[in-house]
Formats: sequence, C-alpha cells, structure tokens
Amino acid sequence: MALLTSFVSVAISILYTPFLLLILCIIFLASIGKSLGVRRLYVNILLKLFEYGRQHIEVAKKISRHDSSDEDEVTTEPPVPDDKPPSALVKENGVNGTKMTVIERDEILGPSPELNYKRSSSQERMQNGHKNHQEKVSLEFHLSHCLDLVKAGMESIIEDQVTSVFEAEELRSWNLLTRTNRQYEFLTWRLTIIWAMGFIVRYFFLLPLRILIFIFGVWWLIISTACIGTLPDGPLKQKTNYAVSIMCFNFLSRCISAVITYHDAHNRPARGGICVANHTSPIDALVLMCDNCYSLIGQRHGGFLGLLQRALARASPHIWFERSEVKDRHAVAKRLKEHISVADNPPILIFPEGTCINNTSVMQFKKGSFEVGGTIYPVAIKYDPRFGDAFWNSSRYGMLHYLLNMMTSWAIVCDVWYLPAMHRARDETAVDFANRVKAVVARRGGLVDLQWDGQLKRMKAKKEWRELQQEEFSKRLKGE
Amino acid sequence: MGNENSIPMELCSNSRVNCIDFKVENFDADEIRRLGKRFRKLDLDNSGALSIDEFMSLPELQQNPLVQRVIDIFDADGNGEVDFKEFIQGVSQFSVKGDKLSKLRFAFRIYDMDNDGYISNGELFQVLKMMVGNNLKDTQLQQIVDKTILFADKDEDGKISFEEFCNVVGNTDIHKKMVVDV
Repeated sequence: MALLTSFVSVAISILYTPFLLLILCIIFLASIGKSLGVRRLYVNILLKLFEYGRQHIEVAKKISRHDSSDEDEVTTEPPVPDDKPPSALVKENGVNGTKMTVIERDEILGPSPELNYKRSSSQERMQNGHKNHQEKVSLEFHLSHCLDLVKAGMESIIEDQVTSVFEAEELRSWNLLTRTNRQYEFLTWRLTIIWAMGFIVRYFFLLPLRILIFIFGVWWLIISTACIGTLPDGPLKQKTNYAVSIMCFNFLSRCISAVITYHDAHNRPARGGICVANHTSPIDALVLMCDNCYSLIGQRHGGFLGLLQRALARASPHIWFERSEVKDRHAVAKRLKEHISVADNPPILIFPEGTCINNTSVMQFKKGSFEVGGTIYPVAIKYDPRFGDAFWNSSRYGMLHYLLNMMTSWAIVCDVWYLPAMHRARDETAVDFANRVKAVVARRGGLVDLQWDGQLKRMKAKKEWRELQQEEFSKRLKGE
Repeated sequence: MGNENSIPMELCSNSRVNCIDFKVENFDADEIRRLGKRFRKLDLDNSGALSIDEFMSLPELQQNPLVQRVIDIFDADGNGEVDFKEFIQGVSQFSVKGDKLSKLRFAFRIYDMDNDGYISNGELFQVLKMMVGNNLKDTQLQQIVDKTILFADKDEDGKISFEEFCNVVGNTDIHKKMVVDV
C-alpha cells in the first residue's frame, strides 16, 4: 500500500508540469478560436479502434458458433441467458454503426386517431368497392375489422415507439465503454486489455483534464460576462458579447471533447428569429452556442445552474422565468413576442419537444413557440452515439451523474444542420406548422418522425385517447 | 378451404407442449433473444410474468381498445399473467412464418371470449362494445351483432363456429394483416 501511494505521488509530480502546460495550451488555443485538429485526429483513431474491435468480436463469434453447434436448441425459459454475447448484435454494421431502435411503421393507431384508418380503409375500398357504395346508410361491420387493432396492439407489444425513445440508443458494435452493451465485457483477452487501457485514459487522463477545463471555462464565462455587463447597451456590447460568448462556449465544449460539424452555415439563425431544434440533452445548447449567439429561455434555477443563468443574463438578453410564471402560457408567449420584436436581439433558442429524447426520433413539437409568429429557423442535431451517448435520461441519472458520464466518454461527436428559415402560412394552424417544421428537422437529421407527446416520459397516457380511438372506429363502421 | 380449416381445435389445445415446440420454430435464436430482452423490459417488477398493469404502462397499448382481449389470448392458462412461454407463443402467431390457420385462430379468439369454440351473440356484442365505446347505441350494436351472426351462421345454431368464422374471414388477406416484424 505504501509502495502504491509513493508510486502515485511520484507519477503525479512527474506528470504535473506537462499536464499544466497542456491545459494552458488548450486555454490559449480556445481563446484565439483555433484548433490544431487534435480532436479530429483522436476521433479518427477511435474509429479505427472500434473497427478493429468489431472485427475481433466477429471472429470470436464465428469460433464460438463452431464450438457450440450442438447447443443450438432454443430455450424458452424466462431470462434468456446471454452466455454467448457476440452472436447478437454485430450482424450488420449500419450507416453509423448504430441500430435504429425505433421501427418505422405505417401507423394504424397513432396518437391522432383521425389519421388512423386512412391507409387501411382506402385499401379496402379498392378491394370491395361495390359493397361500400351500396351500404353507406347502414352500419357495416365485418369480423375482420378487429384485425387492424389487434395488429397495432401486437406491434406495440413487440416494440413500442414511446418508451423506446427514452432509453439509451443501441449500438451495433461495442464502443469499448462498459456502460453500453454490458455483455461484451471480458470477451477476449485482447479486447479486455484495450478496454482497460481505454479506461485508464478516460478516467485518469481525460477526466481530470476535462474537469479542470470545465472549472476554468465556467470561471472564464462568469468573469467575461460580468465585464461585458458593465458596457453600455448598444452595438458595441452586442459585438463583444457575440465574440466572447462563442469563445467561452468553444472553450467549454472542450471539456467533453466536442467535435461538431456545422452544415449549411448560410442558414444560420439570424437576429430577431426563433431557432427550434430537436432535444437530446442539455449539451444541445452548448453545441449550438459554439457557433452562434442565442437567447436562452427557461425556468429560473437555483444553485450552479442559477449562477450560470445570472452570468449569461448580464451580457445579453435571456428569458428566465420564475417557477410560478412557467405555467402561464400567455405570459410566456408575451415575453417571446417582446423579445423578437426587438430586431437586434439574438435569436431565441427553443427545444419545442420539451424533453430529452434519445437521438433516434423527434417527438411532437409543442405549438407554443409556433404561435408567436416571426421567422422560425429549424436546426437538426444528430449525435454520433459511438463515441458516447449524449442522451440525458433524466429519470434515471441526475445532472452530476450525467456530466460525469459525458466527461468520461470518448468524445461527443455531432452534426448540426441549419435548415432554411420557415414561415407560418396564412391559413395554417400552429399545430400544422409545428408538424411541418418537425418533419423537416426529422428528415434532415435522419430521425424518425413521431407524433407522440414527449410528456409521456413522465405522465401516464390519458384515458380519453382510448375513447378517441373508439370514436374513430365507430366512424369507420358508419362509413364516414 | 373447408378441409384445411376443419382440423379439430382439440389438436392444438390438448397437446399444448407440442404446440409450443412447433410454434417456436417460427423464430430463430436471435429473435428469441430479442423477444426475451423485450419481455424483461416490460416486466417492470421482475416477477417473470407480465401483469395487465405492466402491459398498460405502454401508452400505445393503453389506448388500444382491444388490448384486454389480446392479453387474454396471450394468457393461455388464464392465471391473469403472461409468462415468457405464453409471450413467445402469442407473438409467434404473428410471425411471417406463422401459418394462416393459427392466425385465423388468434383472430377467432378475439371474439370467442370464453374459449368454448363458438362466438355467441353476447360475446360479439361485448367485443364490439369494446371497440366502439359509447359512440353507438346498444340497440344499434345489437343490430350489427344479429346481422353479422345471421350472415356467418351457416348451420343456424345462433353462434359462429371456427369453421364458419374462417369462411367469412379466411378470404381477407390475413397474412398481411396479422404479420408483425420481430
């Protein structure tokens, strides 16, 4: 034990100086807004490593298949044992090495029942057209009418869209993190050694470095916003704030080794608009703030978040609500309107889903932000889950635990697409407009477009929904 | 059609074990593993069996008017819970590899609530009531029920047997409508 502690102290004293130099170097680079491409190189090396691991797993799988050819009989006992881990997941490697956990289906029982039977009833009309014409007056029931409902129920038993988007995304191959695909641990010696080395790098090199960067970054942000706060309002303050804020957030983004690619920069949200994006984690805001200045909107917090909020509000107009005000939708809308009526204000950043989703899908956009008017700038954010899962499962992890997860991941790699500005058409309802924007975001980000309400993460489904389904079914019987 | 469908129902219900062995062939090891994972996820209290409440924790299922019937059919031994064997067995009837007869039987069981091999007037009424809720008057419903039974009931015993059911439903594209990807 004494030997160990002395060894550690020697190691620390040797590594201390280069470590400090490294941090200073990072601070310097971040403050002049340059990157040496170290992070991209690091990400590319990681990709090679994952590919090696995947091939290795596949070989191991083949060998174990040969060994166990006589054990092929299927057991139907409740906990299917995962004793032969490799066979399952590495079958094919998708575009991103990820599995789309959400199956896209023709929706029979969607959350908005008026769309339900459009597909199936038109099919039927094709098949027995004459029948429908004759008996429009009377109620037409066929014993097979229940099949759509049964099938929909079956589909959701096997895989439902709602709960699966609130769970960590599944990977096709192991990314050498213990928290994903737990069954891959101790597969072969070589992989275990690679994993252990990765563990040491992540926890004993990257983590302390990132924590230091984080602390520096937060201090830097607080100090610089305080300085800007003393400037008189006007173009000078805005310009300084724009430059300083991007610098601060770029620096902060290094604490998760963020490698962000921005596409279509000419569509970047302009002043006096509303920027809407899909929401995966609190990091979304950080990711976007690295490239542009936004006004944030949210509930006033205490503690650490409150400190940040107050710091940000000093330098540029943000909208923070008291807890009591949040429920008041009119007050929120009024504040939004006031904000965008000043043409010089930075665009407001809103996540209209209202909850974090696991980066495979987009859920219902709340109509509130689309009622305000003004230009909407949609943004699609897609993280690469191979380097670390950015999704914040807030019902499972607290904020600190989540941050720790982020800082001990390999990196956060993501793509941001700026989409062309959109306006609400004259006769379009806010809900329709919200859906239109959502569809655009989903298409660009390669996400599944869902109609479900993100609030289902916390609350139970309403009873009225079943009644709506019943109403829809009876309409179908009546031939409407 | 008549010949193919007139296989006595006892064949399946009496030798259940054989049935399981036969039906599991609809899935390969990967699919079974995936279903096992799904089962464990649905099994919130880790009891090894799914209760109705656990099924109802899925919003999509909760709003499905027929969910109670589907769960009842899954629950082959009628103990109010669905264990893994029953789960696999139930899902397997929706497999692409599943045969038409077992699919038809599943559909028949939706209406045959007491599992006596016949859809009675009262049963059809109850199931219809589940599907339409309070949107139709009971008298209207009863009319539909009477009409449907009259139409299907070839031997005029006032109820629909499995064979009669197949004659009505068998020519719809049941293979398309009762297939689900696992």
